[in-house]
Amino acid sequence: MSVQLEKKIIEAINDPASVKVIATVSKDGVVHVTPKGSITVDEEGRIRFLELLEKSQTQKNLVYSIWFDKYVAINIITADKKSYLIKGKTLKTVNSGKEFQDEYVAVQKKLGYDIDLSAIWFVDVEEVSEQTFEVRREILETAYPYEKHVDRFAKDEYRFENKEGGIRK
Amino acid sequence: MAQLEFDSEWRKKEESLEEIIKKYPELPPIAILEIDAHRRGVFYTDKALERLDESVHQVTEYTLRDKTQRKVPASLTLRDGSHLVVGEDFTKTSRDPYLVDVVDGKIVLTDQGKVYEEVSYWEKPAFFDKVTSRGTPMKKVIAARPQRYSIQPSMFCHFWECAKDGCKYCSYGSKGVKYHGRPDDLINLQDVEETMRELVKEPGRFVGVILTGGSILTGPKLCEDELQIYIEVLQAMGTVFKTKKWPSQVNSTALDKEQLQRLYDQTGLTSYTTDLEVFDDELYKWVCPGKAKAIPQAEWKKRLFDAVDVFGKGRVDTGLVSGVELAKPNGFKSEEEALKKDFETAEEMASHGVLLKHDIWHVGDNSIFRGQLTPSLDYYVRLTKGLYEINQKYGLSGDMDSYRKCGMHPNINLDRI
Repeated sequence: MSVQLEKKIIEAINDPASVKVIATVSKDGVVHVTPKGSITVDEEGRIRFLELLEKSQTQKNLVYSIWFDKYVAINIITADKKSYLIKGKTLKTVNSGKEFQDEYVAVQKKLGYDIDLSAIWFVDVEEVSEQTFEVRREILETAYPYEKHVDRFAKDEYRFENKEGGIRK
Repeated sequence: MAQLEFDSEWRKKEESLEEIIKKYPELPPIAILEIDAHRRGVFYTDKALERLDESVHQVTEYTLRDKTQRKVPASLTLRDGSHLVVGEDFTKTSRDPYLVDVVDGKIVLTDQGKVYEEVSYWEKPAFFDKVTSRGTPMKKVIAARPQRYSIQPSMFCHFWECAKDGCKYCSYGSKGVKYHGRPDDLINLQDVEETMRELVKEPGRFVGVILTGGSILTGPKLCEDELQIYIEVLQAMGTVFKTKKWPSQVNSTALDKEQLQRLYDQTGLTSYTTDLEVFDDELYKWVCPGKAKAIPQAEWKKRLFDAVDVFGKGRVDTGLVSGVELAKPNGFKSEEEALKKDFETAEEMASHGVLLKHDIWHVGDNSIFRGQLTPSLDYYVRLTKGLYEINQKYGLSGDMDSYRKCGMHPNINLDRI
C-alpha cells in the first residue's frame, strides 16, 4: 500500500547533500547495501533512482524484488544528521525508450562518456520512519521504559564516576 | 493440413495461468505470464490502439483475413524491463489471446477482464524515419527491438528451393522466399554502412545486434556464400566502431570450424548461434528435412562444439523451436516424453559449453505446420526451468542472448538474478 511522503522527507530525499543508501536482498537471502546518490522522489511520489551497472548485485536484487514482491530499504541521512528509513517494493524499471535515453545522456554529461546506464528504477513507498537517534531513543524508551540498565535509575550520589571526575547523568 | 478451428473449451483442458504460477513458486509470476503471452499471443482493443502514436512507437501493419488493414504496436515491454516479442499479426486463434487494453489510464495486459500487468509499447529508433543515399528507408535495412537491432543479410533460403525440404514451422520460406540471383536478394553494403552511422548516433538505444537469415548452401564448399555475406555485412558494420570486437551475434547455418575461424578473425563478431531447432534426431529429419540432408544432426552438433573452441564458452548457443517436437503426426506422443529427450540433448550440448535457449513456437498460417496446437503452459514452464537449470549446472551465462539482446528465450531471461 503506497504512503504519501511528507514535504520535509521529500526535501531530504531530493537534497543532493543528503547521503542515500539502498539495501536489497539476493535470491539467496544475502543482504546488500550500497550508496545510491541518484535517489529522488518523482512527481507521482515514487522513489526513483538509477542503476548504472547491468551486472551489479543491486541490479540483480532489484530484479529479484520486482519478480518476487520483496522489500527494499532506503536510508537518507541529511546534512544535519537526520535519518529517514523508507521501505517499499520495486514498482517498475525502465531500460529503453525516451525516458531512459534522456537519462542516459544526462548521466554521461555528468559522469563522462564512458559511463553506462542500465536502468531507471521506481519504488513504491510503503513505510517511512525517522531513524535519527534522538527521535528513536525518545520513542523506544517511552514505549519500553524498563528496558534500560539499572544504573540509569540510581540516585546521582550512587552513580558511576567518570574519568573527568563528574557524575554521569 | 486443415486450419485449426478455435476451441472454445480450451481453458477446461489445461491448467490455468494462476494454477501454474502456484505450482512453480520458484519462478517469477511475471516470467510465467510472459511465456503464456508468447504462447497465446495478444490482441489490441480500440482503446489500446488509441494510445499508439506512430511518431513515437514502432508499428506493425498487416492484413486481416477480411482484407482490412490494421496497424498495431510492434510489441510490448513489461514492468520488469523485459520485452515481449509477440505480434498481433502472428497471434493464433486456437486459444484466446491476451487482450491489451487501457484500464485506469494505464495500458495493461488482461485476460477475461483481469488485469495482469502494466505494459508499454516499443518506441522506434530515430533512424527509422531516415533514408539512405540510395533512397532505401533505413528501417528496411536494420530492424529494431527496444534494445537490440537486427540485420537480415539475405532474403532467401535454399531449403525452400525443393518443395517439402523447408523447415515445417517456418512461415517465411514457405511464402516463396528464395534466391533469384537478383542484386536486391542481398542487403546492400552501402545501405548498411549509412544506416549504422545513423544508428550509433542515438545514445543509450542499443546493446547488441543479431544477423540472421535463411540458409545459403552454395559456394566452393557448403555455406561458403552464406559465410561470405555475413563477413561482408559485419565488416561494413564494423566501420563505425573503434574497437575490433563489438557486441554482436550471428545466427547462421552450422558452419565448419575453418569457416567459423574466418568469421571470428575477419569481423567484429563476439558470439555465434546455430539452432538445432529440434533436439531429437528422427524428428529433426522430419521437421527440418532440408537441414538434415545438408548437415545431419550429429555434424550440426559437432560444428556447435567447434564454435565453442573458436568463440569461447558462453559465446555460442543453440535453440529449439519449442513445441514442434510434439507436432502431429510424428512428434512425441506425450509432453513427458518430449521433455525427457529435450533435457537429454540439452545436457549433451551444455557439457560441451553450448548455451541453451528455446523460442516458443508460433504456429504460422503460412507454415507447413499450420493448424497445429502448441503444448500446454505447464510444458513450457517445465522446459524453461529445465534448460535454465542445465545452463546453471554447466556455468553457462546467457549474456550473449539475454533479455536485452533478444527477449524470446524465457530460460535465459531467468539469468537476471
